[in-house]
Amino acid sequence: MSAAIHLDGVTVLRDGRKVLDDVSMQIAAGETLSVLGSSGSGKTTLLRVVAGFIAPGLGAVSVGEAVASERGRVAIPPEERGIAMVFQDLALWPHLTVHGNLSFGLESGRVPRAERDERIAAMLARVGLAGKARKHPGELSGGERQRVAIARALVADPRAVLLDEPLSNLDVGLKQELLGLFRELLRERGTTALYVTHDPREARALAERTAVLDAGRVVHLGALDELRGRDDLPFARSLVAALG
Amino acid sequence: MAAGMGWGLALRRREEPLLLVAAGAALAALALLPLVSLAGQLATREALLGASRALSAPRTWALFMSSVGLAAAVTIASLVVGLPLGVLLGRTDIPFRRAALWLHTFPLFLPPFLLALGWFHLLGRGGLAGSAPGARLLFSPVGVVLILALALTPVVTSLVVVGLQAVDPSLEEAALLVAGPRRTSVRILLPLIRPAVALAALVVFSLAFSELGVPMFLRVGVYPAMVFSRLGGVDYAPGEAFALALPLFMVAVALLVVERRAAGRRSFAVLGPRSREVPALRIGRWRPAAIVFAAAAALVPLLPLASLAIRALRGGGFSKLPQWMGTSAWNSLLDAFLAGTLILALAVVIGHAAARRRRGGVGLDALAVLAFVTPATVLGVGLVATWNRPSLQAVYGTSAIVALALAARYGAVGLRTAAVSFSQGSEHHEEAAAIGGARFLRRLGRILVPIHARGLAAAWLLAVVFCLRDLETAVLLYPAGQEPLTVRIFTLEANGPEPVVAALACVQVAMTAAVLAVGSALLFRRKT
Repeated sequence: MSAAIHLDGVTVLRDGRKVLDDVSMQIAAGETLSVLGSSGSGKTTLLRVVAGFIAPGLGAVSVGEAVASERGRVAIPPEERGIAMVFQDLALWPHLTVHGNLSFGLESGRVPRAERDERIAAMLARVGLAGKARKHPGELSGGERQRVAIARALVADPRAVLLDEPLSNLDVGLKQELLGLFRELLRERGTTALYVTHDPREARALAERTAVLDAGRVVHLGALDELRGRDDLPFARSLVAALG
Repeated sequence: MAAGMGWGLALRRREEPLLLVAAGAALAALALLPLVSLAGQLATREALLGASRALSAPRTWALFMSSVGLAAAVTIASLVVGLPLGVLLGRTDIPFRRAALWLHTFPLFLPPFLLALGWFHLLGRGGLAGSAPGARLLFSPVGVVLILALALTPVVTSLVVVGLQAVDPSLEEAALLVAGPRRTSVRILLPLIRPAVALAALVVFSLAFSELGVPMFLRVGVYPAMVFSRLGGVDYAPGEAFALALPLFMVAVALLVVERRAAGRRSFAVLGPRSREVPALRIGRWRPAAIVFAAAAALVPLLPLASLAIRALRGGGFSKLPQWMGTSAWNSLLDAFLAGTLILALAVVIGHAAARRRRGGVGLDALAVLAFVTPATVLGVGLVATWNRPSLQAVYGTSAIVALALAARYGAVGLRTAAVSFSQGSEHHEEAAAIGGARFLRRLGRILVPIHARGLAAAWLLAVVFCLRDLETAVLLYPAGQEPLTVRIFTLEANGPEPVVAALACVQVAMTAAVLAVGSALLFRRKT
C-alpha cells in the first residue's frame, strides 16, 4: 500500500527548543495511526505540521506523491492538501448552521448545490443528526457537536483526517459511543487518519499502530502490545499499566 | 515556482500577504508619507538654518517642557482617579455601577475644549457659580490640567474595567481564599492588568500633549499651539512650523518605544471578556465612601454640559442655530463616517495580521500607534506638506483630506479594537476553514468577519466617535466652507455670540450621544 502521509526527519524548533525532533513515519492509505504522548510531547505540533499550519524547520512532509512542506517552507498550503481536521475544541463556526458548517468545505471544492445537499443529508443521517441541519452549534448537546465536527471533516471525502484529542472532554459512555462511530466511519470510507490522544486505551481501540512521542521524539512506532515486558523502556511500564 | 504553477494560482495562494501589503501601503500613505514629507521640507540649507534658529530660541524649549509637564500632570491625575474608580466600577458591588461608568465615560467622546467652555459658563466671571478666584484658577495651567484630567480619566477607568474583565477568574478566587478584597485588588488584580494601565497612561499622555483647544481657550501657552500659530495668522511661518514639529515627533517616537516595551506584545491579550462570571468584590465599611466617589465621578462631568445647555437656553441660542450652524454638523458626520469606514477596512486586514503575529502585522500596528501618539499638529503639518499641491486639489480642496487625516490619526483606535476581537477568538475557526479549502478572502468574508462582527462594529463605532470629537487634526486642514462642527464652535468661540456657541456645543453633545446610543443599541442587542 502506498503512503498517504510521509514525514521524513521532521524537526520543529520553537524558542530554540525542539518541539519535534527528527520525526519520521509513514501512514499508509486507509490506515489509522494513533499518536500517543503526554502534554507537551509534540502531538498537536505533529498534526499542525501535517496540516500545513507550521513548516518544519528541518525535514519534509509529503502528502500523497507531493512534497507538501520542507525546511521552513510550506509548498502546498493547508487549503490545497485535501486533508480534514477535527480540533480539540471542535472549532465549529458558531454563526453557521450545521448544514452551513458541512457545506463550507464542499463549496470550496465547487461541488454543485444539489450534490452538496445530498451528501450533507447522507452524512448527517450517518452520524445520527438527521433533522438537525438547521440548528446552530450553540443549540446542540456536547455529543451532537462532536458528531457535527466529525461529519464536517468527512463530508468532503478528504485524503486524510487529523483528529486532535477530539474526545478528551467527554464522559466515559459518550467517549465509547463516539469512538465506535469514528472507527466505523473511517473503516467504511477507507479514510487515512492520524489520531492524537493521551489515552493508551483510545489509541489501541482505534488503530493497530501507535506512534509514542516523548519530548518531541518518536520513542515507539508499532502495536502498543509490543511494549509488554519491555522494562528497559522507561515509558513502557506506565503505558502497559494503563492498557490493563 | 510561480511560472510552474501559473500566476493565477500563485496570486491566489498569496491572497493574505498581498492584501496585507495593500492595506500596509494605504496606511503608510496616510500616516508615514506626511512624516516623510515633513522631513523633506527641512532638507534644504535655508530650511535647516531656519530650523536651527527656531529650535535654538529659549522660549521654544521653555514651552516644550511646560507642555510635557502639563501632559505628565494630566496623566498622573488621571491614574490617581481612574485606577481606584476602575476597580470600583469594574469589580465591586456598589449600586448602579454600569450607569455610573457610562456617565463617567461619556465626556471622553467630546472635544475637551467643549468641557472647558462648559466650565467657563459655570465658574468664569459671568458664570452660574462664577467668582474671581474660580476664574483665575480656570484660566491657569492648573485649570488646563484639571479639565483635561476630567476629560481623559475615563480612558484609564474604562481600560482598567476592560482589563479586569480579562483576568482569569481562578487567579482572583485563589487570592480571595487567603486575602481580603482590598489586598486582592492591590496585590493581584492591578499588577495583572499592568499592560492595560500602561496603555491607558500612554493614551492619556499623548492626547493631553497633543491638545490644542483647551490651552488655547484658557489662554495657556503650549507647544502645539505655537506650531499651530505658524500655520496661520500674524505668526504665519510654515518653514518654522515644520522645524518646530520635530521635537513633537521625537516625543511621539519615545511614546511608541514605551508602548512597545510596556504593553506592545501583551496589549491584545489584556483586553477581552472573562471566561466566566465571578461574584463582585465586597468592600465592607468603605462602601459609603466608595458610593460617594463613584457618584461624583458620574455626575461631575455632567456639570459643564448642564451649564452649556442653561447658557444656550437663557440667551435663546437654540433658536439661532439654523443661521449659525450651516452644514457643519453634517460635515462632521460625513468626515467621521468616511474615516471610520476607511479605518475599519484597514483594521480588518492589519488588525488580523497583528493579532495573529503575521510578518509585517506588528510593524504596521506600530505605525498606526505612531500616528496616534504623534501630535495632531505634526501630522497635520505633514499632511499639508504632502497634499497641498495644485495637482492634488481634488483631495486637498475637499472634505476628503479631513477624512484621510482622521483615518491616519485614529487608525490605531479601530485597528487595536479589531485586533483585540480577533485575538480573543479561536484561531482554530480560521484553520478549520483553511483546511476546508477556503483561501484567505473567503475565510475573511465567510468566517472571520461574521464571527467577529460585533468586535468589528465596535471598532467602527469607536473610530467614528473619536473622529467626531476631533478638533486638532481638522482645524489645520478643513476646506473653506466645509468645516466640521468642532471647528465651527472653536472658531466662533472667540467672537461669536455666547448663547449660540453654547447651543452649537449642545448639538455636538447630542450628536455624539445619538451616535453612541444607536451604535451601542445595535452592538448589545441580543441575538435572536
